[in-house]
Amino acid sequence: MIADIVVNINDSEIIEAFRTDNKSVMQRFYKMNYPMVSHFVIYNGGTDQEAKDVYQEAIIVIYEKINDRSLVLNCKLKTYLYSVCRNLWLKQISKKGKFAGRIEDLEEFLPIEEDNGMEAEKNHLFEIMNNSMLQIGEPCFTLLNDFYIRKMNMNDIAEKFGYTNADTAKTQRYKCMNRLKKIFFDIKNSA
Amino acid sequence: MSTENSIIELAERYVNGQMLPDEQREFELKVQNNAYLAKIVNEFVLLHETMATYATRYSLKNEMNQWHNNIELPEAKLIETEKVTTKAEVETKSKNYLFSMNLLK
Repeated sequence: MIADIVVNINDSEIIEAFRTDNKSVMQRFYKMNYPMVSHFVIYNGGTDQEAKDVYQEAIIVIYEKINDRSLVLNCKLKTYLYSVCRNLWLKQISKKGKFAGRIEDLEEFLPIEEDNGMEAEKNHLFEIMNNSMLQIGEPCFTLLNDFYIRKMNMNDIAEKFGYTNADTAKTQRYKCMNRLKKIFFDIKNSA
Repeated sequence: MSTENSIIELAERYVNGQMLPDEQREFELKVQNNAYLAKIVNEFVLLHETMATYATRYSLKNEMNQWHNNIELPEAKLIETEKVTTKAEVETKSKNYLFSMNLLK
């Protein structure tokens, strides 16, 4: 029952879950707080899809801050999450020229400091990587995704791609990394 | 294996901490004394770190999309389709939703 699932997880437990990749607790936290953000975004002129995008971006921000130990929490985690989402939504509507000068809040929030230079640089490099992966083509795109995101081992990758053995698959992965490196730095240096 | 692949393999083992102490010292010395090698290794380190960010974000995004599919937000959908106009309406629907999910006592 849902009531059994959502009872009493405190902020320390949630932070620990984000640190240890406890997906079950993370999922509870995710589901518990989405309505709050969904209602905020929709009430302030957004769609459910936009709410989802903002919410997931905020969860990623919190996940990374917890794991690189840069999260400074002076309020409840829920308030912090709402504040990050609020900030992201404000940025988004300002960028689109849709900000009417007023935001209707449904929760209390804290002013979140602007990204420091390191976060901005990290996001910039992530965008370059994203574009590089979109340009790399097959089989490298799937091979690198299988290795880095799906965490498949080289034996399984060799079998999937029909390579003779894990060593051949590894050589192919290095070739793909070289190709990725070229695209990545071409984009980076042309920016 | 080509030279570039060999360098990538070495750099990967270096950043993953998979080299033996002697091998690591030797590698660091080579990098210090060879500008070309240093450039390639530095580029690889940046690529490796950015790939780690990319992988983390995409893995988490995939997880979240699965979690999201299991969220039923009848009230949120209602709010969107009905185009509510007052804060009170949103709050009422929000509370109704939370009650329906047993998230509020």
